[in-house]
Amino acid sequence: MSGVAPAQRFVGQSVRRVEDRRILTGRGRYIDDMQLPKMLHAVFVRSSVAHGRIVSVDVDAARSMPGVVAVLTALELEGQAYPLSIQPDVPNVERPVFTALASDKVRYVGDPIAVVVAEGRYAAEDARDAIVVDYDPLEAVASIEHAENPERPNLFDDIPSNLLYSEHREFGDVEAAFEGARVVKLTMRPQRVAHVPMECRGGIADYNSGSGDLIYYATTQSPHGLKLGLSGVLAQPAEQVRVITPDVGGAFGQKAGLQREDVALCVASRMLGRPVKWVEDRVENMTSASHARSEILEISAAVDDDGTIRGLDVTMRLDVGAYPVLPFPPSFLGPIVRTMMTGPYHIPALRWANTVYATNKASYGTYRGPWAIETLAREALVDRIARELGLDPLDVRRRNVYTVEEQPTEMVTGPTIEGIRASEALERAAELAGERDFRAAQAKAREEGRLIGLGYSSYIEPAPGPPNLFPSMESGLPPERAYARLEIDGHLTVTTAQAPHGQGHETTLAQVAATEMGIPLEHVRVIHGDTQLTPFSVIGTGGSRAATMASGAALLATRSVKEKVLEIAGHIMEISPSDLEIVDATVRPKGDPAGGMPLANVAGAAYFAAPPGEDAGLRSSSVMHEPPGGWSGGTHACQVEIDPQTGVVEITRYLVVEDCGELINPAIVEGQIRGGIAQGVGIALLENALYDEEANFLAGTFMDYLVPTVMEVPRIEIEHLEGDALHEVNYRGVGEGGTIAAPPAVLNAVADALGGVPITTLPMTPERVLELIDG
Amino acid sequence: MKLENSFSVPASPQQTWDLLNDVPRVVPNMPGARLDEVLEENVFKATMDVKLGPMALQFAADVRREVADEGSMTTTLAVKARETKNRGGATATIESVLEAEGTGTRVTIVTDLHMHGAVAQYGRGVVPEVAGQMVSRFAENLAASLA
Repeated sequence: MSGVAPAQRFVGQSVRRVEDRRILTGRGRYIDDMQLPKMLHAVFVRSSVAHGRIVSVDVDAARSMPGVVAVLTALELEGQAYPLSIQPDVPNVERPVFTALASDKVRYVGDPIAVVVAEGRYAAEDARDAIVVDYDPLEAVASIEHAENPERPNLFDDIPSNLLYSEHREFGDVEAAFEGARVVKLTMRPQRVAHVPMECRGGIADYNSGSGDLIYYATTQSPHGLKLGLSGVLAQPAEQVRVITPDVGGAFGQKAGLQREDVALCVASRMLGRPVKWVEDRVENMTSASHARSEILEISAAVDDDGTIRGLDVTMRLDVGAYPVLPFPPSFLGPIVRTMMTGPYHIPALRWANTVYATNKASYGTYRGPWAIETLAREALVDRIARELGLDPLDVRRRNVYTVEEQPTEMVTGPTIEGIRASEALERAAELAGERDFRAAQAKAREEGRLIGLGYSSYIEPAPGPPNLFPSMESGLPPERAYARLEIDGHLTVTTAQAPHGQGHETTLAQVAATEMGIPLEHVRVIHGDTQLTPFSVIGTGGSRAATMASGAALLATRSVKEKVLEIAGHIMEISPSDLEIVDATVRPKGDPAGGMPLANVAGAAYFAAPPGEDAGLRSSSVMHEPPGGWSGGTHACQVEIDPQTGVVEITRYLVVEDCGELINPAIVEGQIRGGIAQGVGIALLENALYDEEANFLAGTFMDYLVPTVMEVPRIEIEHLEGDALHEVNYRGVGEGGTIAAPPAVLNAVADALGGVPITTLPMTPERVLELIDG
Repeated sequence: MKLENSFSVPASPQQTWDLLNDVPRVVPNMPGARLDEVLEENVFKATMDVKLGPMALQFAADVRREVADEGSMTTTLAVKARETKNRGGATATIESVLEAEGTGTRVTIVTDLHMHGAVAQYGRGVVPEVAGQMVSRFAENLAASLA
């Protein structure tokens, strides 16, 4: 794109988001906005007990209530949908088999038992209250410790224990690393957290009994993945399943994959021959949709006296709740955490053990930066090493961080480290944080009885990661596809496999395509979220793939259309296509601003009279494969002041130095960073999806589950480093870094303010901070 | 959760025992409670209205008298209650013991309560206090019945 005139270079500009006019004027279209003719409304009856056998479900009274069309239980779903389980080809993993609606047992508070379908939502809710479920309670498995206890009952009768998966791996020479080394130990046990999308889950199933076609309007991140799942579970041919994703109000990983409610709604519509809508309410979302985190990570680090980390011995125990989120196997998280464990540091040895358990809790769903536990634990560990060795935490980072000179190299776990600016980001963050002045101010504050602290966290983010990242995790990621089509008026339609829900892809992909095509930004429309129109991607939006992969695919597809245009224009203008360029929607000989013809005329000519060698219609389909590099990363620095009387933590300064390559749209990049940090601050200080010892869920409302507001989220200073490009597509994802890096930055700052106390769990609520102060 | 409450009534243990084990007579003394059906000698259905903070709850309860030992003046009730708007429920084992205290009787009630669903979430903090209030009103009503 180097030949593009600056005026047309939309890439790099904070242009206004294309989608905002629609969303901010109330013309967005979410599931709850949609009304289909003859549409019915569904609500779910959910378990109020964590673990129990279902003795009976009495639906008779509900079925005869006014407006009620049907009440479906597991019994009615039999023969309509296959039982659910994870993808079959994953070795050494227990595969729980279950049904969309609980049949014999309930396994967590919120487990769906029946679905009431009525003419209106009120009628459906009233009928729900008339359904009587009789349970025979079982002892609850409310924690990993419970799951490890053979005295506790098993969740699944056909699985011999509540252990679903275990793995042991070694990378490098761990024994040699620990021989004669000092050992620093740390345990990190963060809380469970909820994703809290602004829009809860929901969907409208619309089965046409005449055609046999099923359309499912879904609030999902992965329309094709959902289509694939529905097609299989419902025995509905793929060409007769269409998933349409309207505007989606956030997901953060919660709306990936196939949800049990999706299956129940589609069966209901297929049985009743009418559209069936379900919109989840907030309590239902907090209770029944997925949660994340709450791993227990124990690390022993072998270190030299100068702070060099020689090796890590890590054990992770993971609680995945009751049911796997389909199609992800319970083993899916371990390889990501394991592979990322050494982060931006050249640590030459890693021993890894991972066990995964079923418990009577909501499902574990991937949450923004799913591997975050390694960043949290490792960055807390770095500070702990410094504390125990009497070193400066920055110096321990300096001693271990990848330098530019040693790249390319490989992590001990496999992925290539190339093009990362970790050491530069670290130095710049320390400089901006005023490290030296801060330490003087901190000493003075202590004398006055004030507690202030400064903490850092360094991270790398696979966004999307180098080509050998996924092989290192024994999995693979499909390439990303896009279509481009020049319209008859010379405008461009780009069709992406992404399913945006706040990321601004309608804008960023248009910026890339408009710049490549040489047309105004307003001439580009980005289409997404309809499996009948969009290219296949089992993921959709997730895994920080859009910046590189979707932008790359859009770029290549646009370029391919542009080549066709120049071919046709060359034919019309009798000039070699290689001597033509497109500037501001005009095809012209290079360097001859007056000699061109409007792009619309070329398009029209192609549509009405295909020139020789060209098909009618200027369209293309392109595939983007992972380029080298692929890492985002940087360092966050956080300053806090703690009120010693109340224990309240105030973040007084927060700064980010990061590298995500070239910025397509700086405002969107910074929005992603800020949003991620807001969630990270929530994790660090506020949020807690708490269960009691009997696995009752205690955080179903925003009275109990505190999310950060503008009062808690600090002003965030951001500085971008742009490393050397390893590939033409030098844009990388930035969605997850904020969420993974903020909790350890805040934790290290709080620990620093409190004189280096070990902090092993989150959130750091005022009560907990007071306990830390009191020792 | 375990709740322990006790109170005194101005009647002999025998009089108190007779009242406490006369289910149709005793139930109306419990605030918010009414007896719906006597299924067998020791099996009952009851409804109970309870306010937990801002939440007005109604429980449909199956009550089984598992122990009624006049010798030791001990009664054990097993209760399984369902909130009628699907907001969860509770199971409880309620053990009461009567002891002579001067001319009156000391009643000690030990409740092993397990709540589930929304009831557990919202009720957690307030249940011990609400239970205490209910028991003291129950005691006043009993005293009035025995007077």
